[in-house]
Amino acid sequence: MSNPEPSDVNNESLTQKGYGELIVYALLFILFITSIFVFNINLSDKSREHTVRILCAQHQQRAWQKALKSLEQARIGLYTGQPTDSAFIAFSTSMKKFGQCTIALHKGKLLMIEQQELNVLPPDDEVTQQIIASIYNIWLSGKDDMNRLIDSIGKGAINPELVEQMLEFAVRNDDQILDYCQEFMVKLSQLSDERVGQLQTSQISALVLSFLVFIAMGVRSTISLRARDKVIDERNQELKKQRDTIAKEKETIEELLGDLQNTQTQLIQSEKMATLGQMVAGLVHEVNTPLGFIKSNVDILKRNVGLFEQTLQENRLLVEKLADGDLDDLEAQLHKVQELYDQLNSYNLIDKTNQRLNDSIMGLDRLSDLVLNLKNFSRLDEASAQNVNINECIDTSLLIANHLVKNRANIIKDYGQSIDAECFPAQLNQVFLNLITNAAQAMPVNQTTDGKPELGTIAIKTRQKDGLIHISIEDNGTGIDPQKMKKIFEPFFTTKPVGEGTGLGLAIVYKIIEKHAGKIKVKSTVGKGTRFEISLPMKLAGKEKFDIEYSDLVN
Amino acid sequence: MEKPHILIVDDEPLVLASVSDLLEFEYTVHQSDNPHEALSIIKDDRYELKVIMSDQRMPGMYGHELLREAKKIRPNTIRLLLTGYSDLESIMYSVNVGEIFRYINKPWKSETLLNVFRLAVKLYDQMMALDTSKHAKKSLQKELPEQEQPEEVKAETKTVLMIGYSDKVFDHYHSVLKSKYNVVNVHTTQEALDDLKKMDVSVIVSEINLGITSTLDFLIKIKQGFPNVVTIMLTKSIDANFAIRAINDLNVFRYLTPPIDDDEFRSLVDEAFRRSDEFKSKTRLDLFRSHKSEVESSNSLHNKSSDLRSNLKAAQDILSKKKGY
Ligand SMILES: Nc1ncnc2c1ncn2[C@@H]1O[C@H](COP(=O)(O)OP(=O)(O)O)[C@@H](O)[C@H]1O
Ligand SMILES: [Mg+2]
Repeated sequence: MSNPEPSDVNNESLTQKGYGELIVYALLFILFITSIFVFNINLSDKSREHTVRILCAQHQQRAWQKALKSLEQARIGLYTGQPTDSAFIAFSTSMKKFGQCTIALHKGKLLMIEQQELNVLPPDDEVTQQIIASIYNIWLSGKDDMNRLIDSIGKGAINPELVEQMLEFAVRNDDQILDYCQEFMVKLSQLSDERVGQLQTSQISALVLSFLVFIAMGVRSTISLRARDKVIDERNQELKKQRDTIAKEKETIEELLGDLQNTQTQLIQSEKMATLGQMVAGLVHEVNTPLGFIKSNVDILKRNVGLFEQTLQENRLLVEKLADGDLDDLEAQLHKVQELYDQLNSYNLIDKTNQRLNDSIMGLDRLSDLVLNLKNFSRLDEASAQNVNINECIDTSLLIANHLVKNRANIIKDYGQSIDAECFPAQLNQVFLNLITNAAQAMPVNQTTDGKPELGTIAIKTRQKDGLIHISIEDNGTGIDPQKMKKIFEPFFTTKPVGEGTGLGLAIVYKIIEKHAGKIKVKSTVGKGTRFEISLPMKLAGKEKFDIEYSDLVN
Repeated sequence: MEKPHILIVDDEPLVLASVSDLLEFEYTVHQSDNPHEALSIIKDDRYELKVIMSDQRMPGMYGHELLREAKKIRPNTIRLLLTGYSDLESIMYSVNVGEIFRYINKPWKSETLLNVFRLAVKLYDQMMALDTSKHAKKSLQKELPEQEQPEEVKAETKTVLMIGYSDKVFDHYHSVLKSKYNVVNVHTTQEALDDLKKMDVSVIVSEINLGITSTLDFLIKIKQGFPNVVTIMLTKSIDANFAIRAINDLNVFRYLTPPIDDDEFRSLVDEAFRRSDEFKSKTRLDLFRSHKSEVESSNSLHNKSSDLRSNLKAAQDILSKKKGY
């Protein structure tokens, strides 16, 4: 499998880079848009100022014309004696208006024009400033006379000389002021035309720029999308590869698992064979010993019977000789009989013959017991469960394990009443054989000084309680290390040397008890001993959950 | 003469009773069902134990272990093993550790057992005779340094015949032994026979699988023709039945499986040569003891008859009295 981490990191940084770029583009775009807006707003502010200025300039022009006209009318009135008041008032208002407009345009001022409050700002370009400055200067030069005239109008004492003077000033400057006004307005409209052009250019350029940004963004994101796609493709391929590898690995694992199961069954089979081999070894020993002495005893009996026969024969001869009064060979015959009797007596042959007969009967009993018990072991793969007395089942296993146990431990049995259970007896035999064998093997082989081996104790107890059969097999052997406790049921776990332990005994016990829906408890303390407690349901139907409990050997 | 003392050891008392009944006409039978007790009987020097037969599987001690101890205490006593189950391991131990004379399986045949004991006692007596003669010789030739008898074995004739090994394997064993012995390698039984006729072979080291002829049968034949030859089996093929026959019929000295330590192998070959030398000197002895025992038993019969005579007289008197009535 390839190493996934570096490519992950790559992808991550790639994505981060992509996002960063996107953000830059978006910012640029927004910047352009805002700049257009800011520019536009700025421009429209300017053009409003402009409009105000134009309005003001118009007012100024009109105020000038009206003032001049009113002054002329007033002079005519003065000369013709017509009323001049209204003309003078019109003049002074217009003149005042003109003055205000001129000041406003020159220096900036808040003005009331046509009931509208307008903030007039001085123009910001030099040409218009100069123009308005010229108008202002002209107005400034005539301002004192104008004020005096206006004052006198207000007092009602009009000085015709002043009027003449004023008129002369107005007429003299009329052309100039009007020209300036005209020029000023033309200049302003030129400026606003410029401004519109500027606005358009800026808008168009902004649009073009935004468009460019947009295109760049599009191109860039297409590229990054492509890259992303490529990465995703690669990812997918990798994933596919990984999936393939996983599938392959799964296959291999399944194969291995199958193999393992095969080996396990094989091993269980081989442990069965090992148990069988062990059993056969024990059995052969167990059979050959009584067979040996029985055979030998029969030979001895035959020999002894021969001797008895001979003695009887010689005895009969002696009796015959005595009865016949044939005293010639009597002494020799008596010697013969005497010798034979001596032999019989010195070897205690009659007693011994009886003893050997009894021994042989005992031996034969042992053999027939063995054969009887073997029947239970013979059906190793029985198909159906049977109702069996568990005590007898244990006894059979004990018999088979006898050759191993007798050198190592004494068996103390404490069997309860009515210990019958529905079970597979041959399998349970195997369970008990394995547990008893382990118990015997756990005995340290010490020898006492008098030569007798120090025998351990294996206590076997059976009880029936609440529909369960409880079997306890306890030894006072080495005990099990707490660290190893959890492993003892694992196949191949063994602490014994090769040849003595396969490590499969308890694994098989586990399997069989599991099959019987039973429970196993192990209690062990190092140096003190081990107790295996098995409980089996009396009826196989009532299956319980199979489990194992581990704890210290408390009592 | 006193009947030969023998010891039988078995953890099954019924076996002891039966064997003892079988043998008691010919031997003074000591018995024990406990190997440690048996050891104290072996140490007891009031009797001259000629044969010990032990069971292999016993509580506390294996038969071959007991016999090894017995060999240390009484090296000349003949050792037999009686066993109920012949697993290969115990067979190998019995040859190589117990150095037993015969390996007997249960159930045994009474006739075989009796024969084995007779043979064993004979062998023992021969060995003892050899020992005493050696002793006598030694006391006669006290002035000579205590070394090997020069006229019996000549250094250059010490030949080891190796049968059935590849050249490579042979080369190794040759390099181990060549400093002391003349080592010869043969591949066929015919070659082996030729060499045995040509040379004075004392020790044979043999593989098992030698072509068509059963190796064991061949070796047994050699043993009959050349009784002084001591055989060591050195083979990877181990087989219980084969091993038992090798013990009982070939009297194999060691049954070994390679790899074997070089020094150990050399010292085993040395021991085999010593054994062979013993056999050579033994053939010159005769079995005078058995004749003597026959004479003695007839004497005891005569002693008994003297008091019988008076008893008979009394009986006759009684009988004649009755008749007279
Ligand atoms: N009664 C016992 N006392 C001490 N140790 C035991 C006992 N029973 C089992 N064990 C431990 O559990 C291990 C596994 O047992 P088992 O599965 O029967 O395999 P084996 O006996 O072939 O080693 C043994 O090697 C031993 O260490
Ligand atoms: Mg076990």
